[in-house]
Amino acid sequence: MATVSLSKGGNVSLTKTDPTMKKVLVGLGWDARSTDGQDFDLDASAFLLGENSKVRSPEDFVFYNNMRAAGGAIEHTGDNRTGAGDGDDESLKVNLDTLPADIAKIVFVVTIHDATARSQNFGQVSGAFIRLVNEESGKEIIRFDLSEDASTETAMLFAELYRHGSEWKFKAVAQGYKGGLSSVCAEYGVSAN
Amino acid sequence: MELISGQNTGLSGSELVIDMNYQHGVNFAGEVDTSAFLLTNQDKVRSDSDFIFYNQPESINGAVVYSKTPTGGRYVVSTAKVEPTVDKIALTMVVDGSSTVGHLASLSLKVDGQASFNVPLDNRSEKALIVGLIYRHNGAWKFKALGMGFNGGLAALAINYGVDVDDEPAPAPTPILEASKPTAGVSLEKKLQEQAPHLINLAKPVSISLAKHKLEHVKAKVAFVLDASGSMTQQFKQGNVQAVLERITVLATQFDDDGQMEVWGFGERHKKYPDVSLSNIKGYISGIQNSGKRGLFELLPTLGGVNNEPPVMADVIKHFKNSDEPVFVVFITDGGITKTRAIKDAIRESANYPIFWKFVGLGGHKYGILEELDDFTDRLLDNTDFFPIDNFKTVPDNVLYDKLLTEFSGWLAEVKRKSIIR
Repeated sequence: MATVSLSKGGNVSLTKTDPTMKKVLVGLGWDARSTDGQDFDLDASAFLLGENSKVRSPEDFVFYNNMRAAGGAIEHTGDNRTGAGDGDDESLKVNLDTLPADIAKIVFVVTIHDATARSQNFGQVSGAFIRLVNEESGKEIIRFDLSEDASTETAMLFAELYRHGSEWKFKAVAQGYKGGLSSVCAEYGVSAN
Repeated sequence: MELISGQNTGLSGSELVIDMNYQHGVNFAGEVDTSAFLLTNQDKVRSDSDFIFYNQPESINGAVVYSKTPTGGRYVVSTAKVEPTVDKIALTMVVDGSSTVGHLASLSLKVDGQASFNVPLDNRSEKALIVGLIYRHNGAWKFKALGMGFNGGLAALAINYGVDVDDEPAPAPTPILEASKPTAGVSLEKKLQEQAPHLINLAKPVSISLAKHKLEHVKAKVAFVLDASGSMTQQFKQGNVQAVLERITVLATQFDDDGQMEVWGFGERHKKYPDVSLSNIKGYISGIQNSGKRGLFELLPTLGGVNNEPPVMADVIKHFKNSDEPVFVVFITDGGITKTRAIKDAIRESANYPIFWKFVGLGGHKYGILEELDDFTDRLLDNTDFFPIDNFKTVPDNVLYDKLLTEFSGWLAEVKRKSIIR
């Protein structure tokens, strides 16, 4: 299966494109800065949302300081603060089968840490991408080129996984977000701190 | 369309005319040089010919043609001519001097009617910037505004893009050196173009080597001491002596306090010759060879045919012992050295003064004491280095300059620590 290239707002039915997918990996990668200046510190995060599109509790916000939620159904593999290393520099792993029933939707977000203070955006970062992969088969379902196609953004709502009856569906959102991670948190009912 | 840093936009047309413009701020000290790099998808040049600047204004097949303008540079990119192995063209600028880009009043890039970018310059510490990129994307050409770069100037920029820089590691920077005086504002390339255009290709290796060794803001007195004993005959005849002198003179133009280099010749006797600079470098060696009647076995008139190092060393020491500035003596010899004890004495004495000796073995053998200098410890500090050039014609200029400058900055830090020099 070829990678679907993502257009904003596009819907992908996982049941059609990859019906066997049980484990989802969202990978974020970028190149370490070669020029002088502050490092580019990109962060991948996820929000586990109920039917009301809010988190059930602050623990449903999975990020570099809360790396495991929903009894281990979702895990963050660790914070990379520079982009050093090949491939995915940060990833989130979700086991669709063990997610609690009251989680209706997962939203994946990528942000640049301290972007405003550092005057940074995705376009200044080389080789920045976010992708969604079937963790068991290694198949890449979708990939978004942050450096090229979100160049002036500092935060982006990448994608949503949501229940549709007994299936999971996938929606490519690719929506830029002003105000960084804290404004995304406010949107989904995670209070500051 | 005005872009911000990081932003990109698609380009149309097969010929792109791109102008980079800058304005000096009131306190700007230095010169701005604009340039470009043709890069592969690995962000590296394929060879030095992918570095485009006023001395190499066209890429191999004319895909990129650069011209210097009074306030910057113009790049004309014929996209159809860009070779498939070139993925990206970086449009770059470098400050040559003590200022950073933060001292500029403005810096902008305009792609004829399609895009423009004004680089934010407040509180910037870089001395070299990648101002923008022209690059392939999905079969089309795009422009990205960037304005990011390097505090280390040209050398750091060149290394980033893989332009031929020697792999010998630079010595650790010392705060003493960084606090030294800024270089004169006029760039080396310009001086060469005006006074010695046949040596213009030496500008880049000199600048890169000085930067690598953290010597770009250091001023020294440079001296040239030349073995003119009979065994040097072939080196004189083949033009190697003149060629080495030319290379050291270009180094001295950037490095010396007044661009004038003192010259001594020695055989059995020694003599101090007129200072050499870019203005009289052409034919300098044949000029001093023909300045009088030469005896049998003499390469320089009246000096005799055998090598006698200690008296000329004593004269050099006497000349420079009270110098306020560090002294860099390049001592050319083909070996056959026998007066080991007297040479050691001279080196030991000069260790108390701001004098550094760089012994260069030229096409010779049996360098004697020179080869053992690094083990020679009964002196105040290590004020010598030696390297041999077996065949001058095969040594690339960047290697030559790196070997010349090796150990000098370490020695300079040491003489300052010991208060031999302020």
